[in-house]
Order: sequence, then C-alpha cells, then structure tokens
Amino acid sequence: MSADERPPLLEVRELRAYFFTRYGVGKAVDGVSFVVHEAETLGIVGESGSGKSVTALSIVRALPRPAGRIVSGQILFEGRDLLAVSEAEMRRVRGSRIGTILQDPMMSLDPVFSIGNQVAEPLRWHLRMSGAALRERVIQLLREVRIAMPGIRVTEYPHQMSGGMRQRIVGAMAIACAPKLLIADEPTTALDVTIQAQFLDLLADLKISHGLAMILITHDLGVVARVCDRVAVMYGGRIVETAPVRELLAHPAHPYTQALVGSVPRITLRRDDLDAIEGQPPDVRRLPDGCTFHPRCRYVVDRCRSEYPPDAEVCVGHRVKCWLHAGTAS
Amino acid sequence: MHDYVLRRVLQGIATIFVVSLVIFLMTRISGDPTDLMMSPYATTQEREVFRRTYGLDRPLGSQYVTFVGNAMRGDLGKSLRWGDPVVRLVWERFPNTLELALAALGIALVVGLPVGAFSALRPNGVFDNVGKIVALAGQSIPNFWLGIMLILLLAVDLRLLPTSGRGDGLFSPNGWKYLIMPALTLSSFSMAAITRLTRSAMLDVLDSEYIKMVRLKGASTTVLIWKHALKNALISILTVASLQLVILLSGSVVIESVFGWPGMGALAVQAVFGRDYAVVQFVALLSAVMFVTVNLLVDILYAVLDPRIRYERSA
Amino acid sequence: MSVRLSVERLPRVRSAPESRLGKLARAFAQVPVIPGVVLTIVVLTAVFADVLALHSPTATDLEHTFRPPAWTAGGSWSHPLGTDNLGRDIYTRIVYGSRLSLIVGFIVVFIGGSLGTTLALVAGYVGKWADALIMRVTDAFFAMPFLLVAIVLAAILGPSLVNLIVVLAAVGWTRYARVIRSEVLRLKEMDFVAAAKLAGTRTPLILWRHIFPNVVNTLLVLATLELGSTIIAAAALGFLGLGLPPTVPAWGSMLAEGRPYIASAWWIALFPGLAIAVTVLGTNLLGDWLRWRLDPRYRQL
Repeated sequence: MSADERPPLLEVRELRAYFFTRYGVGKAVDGVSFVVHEAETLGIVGESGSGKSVTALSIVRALPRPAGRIVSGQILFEGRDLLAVSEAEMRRVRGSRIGTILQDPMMSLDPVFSIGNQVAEPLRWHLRMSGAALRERVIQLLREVRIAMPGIRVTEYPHQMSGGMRQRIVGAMAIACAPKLLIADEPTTALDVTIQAQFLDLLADLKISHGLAMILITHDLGVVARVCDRVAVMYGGRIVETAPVRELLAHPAHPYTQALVGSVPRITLRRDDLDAIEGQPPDVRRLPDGCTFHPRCRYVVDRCRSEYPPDAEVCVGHRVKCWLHAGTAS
Repeated sequence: MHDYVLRRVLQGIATIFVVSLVIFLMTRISGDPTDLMMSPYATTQEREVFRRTYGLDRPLGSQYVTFVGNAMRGDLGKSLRWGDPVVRLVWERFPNTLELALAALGIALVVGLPVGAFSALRPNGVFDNVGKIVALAGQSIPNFWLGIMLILLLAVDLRLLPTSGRGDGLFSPNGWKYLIMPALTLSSFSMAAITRLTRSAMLDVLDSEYIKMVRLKGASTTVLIWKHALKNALISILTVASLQLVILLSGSVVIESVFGWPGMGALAVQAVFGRDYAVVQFVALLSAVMFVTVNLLVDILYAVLDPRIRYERSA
Repeated sequence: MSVRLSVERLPRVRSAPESRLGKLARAFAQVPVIPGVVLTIVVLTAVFADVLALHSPTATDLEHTFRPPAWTAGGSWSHPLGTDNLGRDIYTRIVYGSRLSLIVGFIVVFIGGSLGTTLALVAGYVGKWADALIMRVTDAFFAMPFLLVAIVLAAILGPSLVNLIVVLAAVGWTRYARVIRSEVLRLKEMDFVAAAKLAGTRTPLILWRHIFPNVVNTLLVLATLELGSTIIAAAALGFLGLGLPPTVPAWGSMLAEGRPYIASAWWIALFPGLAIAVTVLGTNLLGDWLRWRLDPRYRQL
C-alpha cells in the first residue's frame, strides 16, 4: 500500500514520560513507539492509568508541569522532531497542524468568553484572520460541526449549551485551522450514550471531509470498532499489542487484549467495559517486575515475573509483547 | 436567583438587628451607663436628671426598642462632648476616612495584583519569593508600629513627609504628601491579603482544563495569562478587593490615631476616651451596615461578572 | 468471650488515637527551621524571664533615662537595648513582655477556640433555628469592626489582665465558628456519621467522637494563625493605653511610651515592635506550614 511507502505523518519512537512527585517517580509512559499515517485513525485503548492520555499530551508537549516531563524519545511529525523544536515553534503546531479534543466538554471551554471568541482564537493566532472573514469562517465551522443557528450561538457562553454541543464546539476549535492530525482524548466518555454515537459519526465525517489523521484515545473497544483503522493496546505505560482493528478484535493475541475483547458486548456501547477484568490496573509508581500484566494474567509463567517480553509479530501488522508469542517471532 | 437574593437580604437585615442589640448591650454590660457616661464628680441629682433625660430609668427592653426606633429614623443621639447629633458628626469625618481607605486599597492592588499573578506563573521564582515576603510581612508586622517607623524614617530622618494631619486637604499643593504614609501603613495587611489571594486564584485557574485547552489551541503565554487566566481569576479577586475596602474603612481606627488623620476612626477613639459612647455606637453600627451591604453587593457583582450566574438570573 | 472482645476492641481503641498522635508527633518533628527556632526562643524567654532579666521590669531609674542601645555612642552593656523615658531597661521589659503576650495569646486562643468550635458544632450539626441564631450572632460580630469593639469593651471594663483576655476572647471566636461550621456541614453528610446515627448514637456523642476529631486539624491551623493576630490585637489595645495597667511591661504599651520620643529616642519604640513582628512571623509561618501539612486540599502532588 502507498501509505507504507511514504514516511508516516507521525512517528513516535521510544517515548518516555515520567511524573516526578513527592511520592516517587511515576513511569506513566515507558518506551512507547507507534506510527500514524496520513488520513489514518489509530485507536489507543487501555484502562485509566495505562499511560494513553499522557502519550497523547506528550505529542503536543502539554504535560502538566512541573511534575510531568518527557524524559526521552522522538516525536517525528511532518518530518521534524517535535521534542527538539522551540516552544514558539511548538505553539505554531498546536491548534494549527495538530488539533486536540479533551475528555470533559463541561470543563474545556473558558466560562467567561463567548463561543465565537473562543472558536475564533486559533484562526486569529495562526491564520491572522480578522473582521467579517473571521466571523464568516467561525459560523461556517460551527455549521460544519452541526450546531444549529450558528449566527446566534456565537454570542452565547459555554454554560448555555449541553455537553454534546460543547464537545462539538471543541471539535470546531480543533479543526479550525485545517490540521493534519486530530488528537481526541476520550472525547465521548463524558457524554450521554446517544450523544456519544452522534459525536463519533461527526468525527468519522470530519475525518473523511478534511482528510484528517486521528489518534483516538479511549477505554471503550466499541468506540474503537466504530471509528478506528488500527489499534494500540496500552498497559502499564507500554503498548502491549497493536494490529488492524478487525484483526485485533477477531484474533487478540495478548491475554490482556483477550480479556478486553471478551468483555465487549456485541452491539451496545457501554461505558465501563474494561472493568470486567479482575484485579486493579497497576500503579505506575510501583510497577511489577517482568511483564507488568503478570499479576493479573491467566497464563502467567515464571519467566513473566522476571523478564519483560520482547516484541513479536504474530502476522503482518499485528505485533504483541507477550511470552506466549515470543517464539512465533524470528 | 431571586429567592437567593431575597434570602441574603433577609439574613443581612437579621444580622444588622443583632449588631444593634450587641452595640446597645455593650454600654450596658457594666450595669448603669450613667457611671460610664458622666463625670465621676457629678452629683447624685445630676445623675438622676441624666437618667431621666436618656430614659435610663426604664426597663432594658423598652430602652432597646426606643434605641432601634430612633436609629431607624436616623437619630442615634447626640454627642456628649460636642452636643451635635452623632450622625452629622460622623458623616463630616467619613469622606476623610474614605479617602484614606481608597488610597490604601489602591496601593494594595497596585502591588498585590502583579506580584500575586507573577508568583503563580513561576512558583518559587523571584516574584513568588517577593510575594511571600510581602504577604508574611503584611500579616506579621503590627501596622501601627510600621506607621511609627515610617514616621521615624520618612518624616524625622529624611524630612520628606509631614508627620501627621491631613494638611489643607488632598487637592491643596502639598496635600497628597499627608496621605502617603497613613495610606501605605494602612495598606500593608490588605496588600498581603490581595497578593496571597491573587496567587491562589491564578494557580487554581491555571490548573483548569479550559486553560489547558487554550494552550492546546496554540495560545501565546501572554494571551493565556492576561486574557484567559486573569479574567477568570479577577472575579474572586474583585470580591476580595471590595470586602477589603470595607475592612480598611473600619480598620483605620488605630492608624488614624497614629497619624492624627481627621477621620471617623480617630473620632471614635477620642470618643471612647471621652466616654462619648453615642458616637462610638454609631461608628460601629455604620461599619457593620457597610460590611453587610458590601457583602451583599459583592454577591450581585459576582453575578454580573460571571456569565454562568448572569444567565441563570435572566432565565 | 473475653478474648474475642479484646481482639475486636484493642486494635480500634489503640490504632485510632495512636495514628493521630503519631501523625502529629511526626509533623512536629518536621517543623521548618525559622518558625521552630523563633517560637522556641520566645517560649523559653517567657518561661525563664526571671533568669534572663537584667533589671527590674518596673523599677524606674531617673538618673539613667533615654540611654541608647549598647552598640551606639553613649550606650553601655548594662542596658543592651537602652532605657526609656523613666530609665527602665528596655531589654528586661521586652523579656517580661513575651510572658504577657504568650499568656494572653494562649488563653484567648483557648477560650475563643473552645467557644467558636462549640457553637460551630451545634450550628452545623443541629441546623435549623440553632444554626440560624448562631450564624446571625456570628455574622454580627464578624461585621462589626473587631478592634473598635475591643477598644470599647476594654475601656468600659477597665484595665486588667482578666479583662483584656475577656475582651479579646469576646471578639476572637467568630473565625473558628465560621470556618468550622462549614467543615461540620460537610462532615455530617458523610457515611460514618450516618452509620453512627443509625446505630443510635446520641447527638452529643456523635459530635464529640465522630465530628470533632475530624475538625481538629482545621482548628489547630486556625488557632495557630489566631495566636498571632491576638498578640497584635493585644498590642494595639496596649498602644492605645487600654487593656493592661500602665505599669505592666507589655509590648503594646511600650510602643506607646516610645512614640512621643520617636525623634530623639527611636529605640524605645523600635524594639518592642520588632519583638511583636518576629513572634507573629513565627506563628504565621507555623500556621501556614500546618495548613499545608494538615489540610488535605493542599496535599495533592
């Protein structure tokens, strides 16, 4: 396929992001590598604390300071390493080349500025738009995210809108400057079930109409199945398995993924899917030795307790880190 | 929203009534106020006359009813010393106190706002350390002593400023010089309070999801802080600033005495020593009424500034 | 039976107070240097005032009035910080003044804290009319200018140590009442209180055993901060010539005595003020640190 020949839009190499707190160092992301091709949607799934949100925020260098720091790695986006560019340069990437949607739409809009003002901001900053053209573009964007009566809505404030509308407005801000990549961090978690489906449809449409590549962070495999091309499963700060969506859902290789897939109901989209697995997600400040999943694993053997498993390819594009499959490599 | 305002107004009225009761009882705690208000050399007959004129021979409850009734008609008695109605006496001095309090609040804001805001931006940076020192000093140094030390330094040693009084008023050629030291002294505690509050309000806001979102949209630090963060923090800062104004108005008692500032606080202290309790009662009552009223107004101001509440009110 | 009882009871009775005491002990072992040193010095000075004093704090010596501090021209080490207008040794008076300040401060904080906390527990937990009544009185005291009320009361009651304490406690309880009441409102909605209520525990016992232990931290922080403001308020009254009899060596009245001579004998007013400022700085630093340490809202990351 042509996507494999061209350099990927985004390539993350051996990313490590740690949190330095009074209670010790949390290795939230510990050696994560993945690629996202143009117009491709990558889903990153995992429980809370698995490092998926930290991975996403690291790409735009927006970890909560001063505790969170990117320790090492490379983030190659459109041919340059985002970890090496200046803060001023990074500012021109955020909101312009990479758009972001956060989890809680009730919290992610500034309560004291109007919707219009907030949607206009990236256009003013990055594209130097102003006046009637700016206003026209803002209204057009709101229409694009299916806000009814956008001409009236621009003067309103966030608290006057429902959660679903707010999230669509965040979406409008994210795509305002026609970015190449959209990062959506649990965009539907805080929404009602029916609104979730609507918003996912919107994301799917935007992806096609704008030729967007997307990283969708979620703990909901139902969401992944609906929107994504490829999936990476994160556990304890690392990607334990990655595969095309159909392949992963049909033949999950990692015991963790198997447990996840096994707990997905067929049709409905449920919220707490991943809670069906026994045991607690690991504390990143005190990760177990060896394979971090071994305390909860059904197939655990001695080796799992002492050594982290190597990367193995089960079939083309399907990689897994588990001793069960270590032999199938070579 | 209307119910809320109504409830707050009723609470305020109830509070004022309790204040009036406390103020009324204050001069009655040692028994017969005749002893407090009259010269110890007064004859028994003079005392009798005094009691009857002021109704002190009647039961306590009926005296209180009279006190409240008169107060509602704006009559809080006459000053023993000046013979004028206390309301007029205090209102004559009030503008001077207001001038001093406004100047002090101005100084406190000019220092406290930027120091507090910059402190929040770089915890443990230079501004944060300056801010911590300002806040600690303001809260630890007794302001009347600070006043005396300023007099020693600026008036006695350097001869830059006059030691006391108000001169010929603020707008006379040298009038402003009289205001500097008392205002600076009076502002010390408010400066500390505003610095601390600005810092914590900014820290709260900077920690929020919407600020993270603004950053993710590619905002420059300038826009992030001075547009989004400050406007959000300003609501709680304004709340505190307006309450500080009232505290400054009634808290200038000792400072006015130190600097001989002809305001209502110095008047009250003189009145205490002159056993002129009607004056003191009115100053205390006025201060309490201002405090309760401003508290109430601040809540309404809050509603005007914060669109979330503004919306609920119009709905 | 008796064995089972002891097994069930011992860990509960022991562990709860031990952990709290242990936490406190550990907390105090980590008190930062500045407030620790300052407050230790002030307390030791107050306790050993008789030993540390060089002269009588009240005896006047009209032959040695207005002596400057030892290190300035004309000073001598027999009066390290100089003498005042009546020839009294300023160092000695400051040493004895620390005793007065701490006695007044601690007793006022204890009385005010007890009164305010009790009212807060009743108002917050019982609610309804009790809450309305107590909170209106609290609001009223809060709305009146604190210092002016203290001045009036002190003037009416006349100068004495007991009266000074009464006056400061009478105006100093409101902050405890307001802050702790809101804590109580939050606590009474919690499950362990509901459980105690369901178990038939009587209200006074719930307040004492379940609510009070949970507001102790807040109370401790408030009391430490109030100690400083009480010392300042006592000094303000003394400065105006109220509160204590004029002969008593109190920091505030020493300031007042030095004021007329500020142009010629600056040391009379300077040193007592420094003593107040340093002491209050110590209590404020300790209070800030305690708040940071004990208040869970400040404990994140």
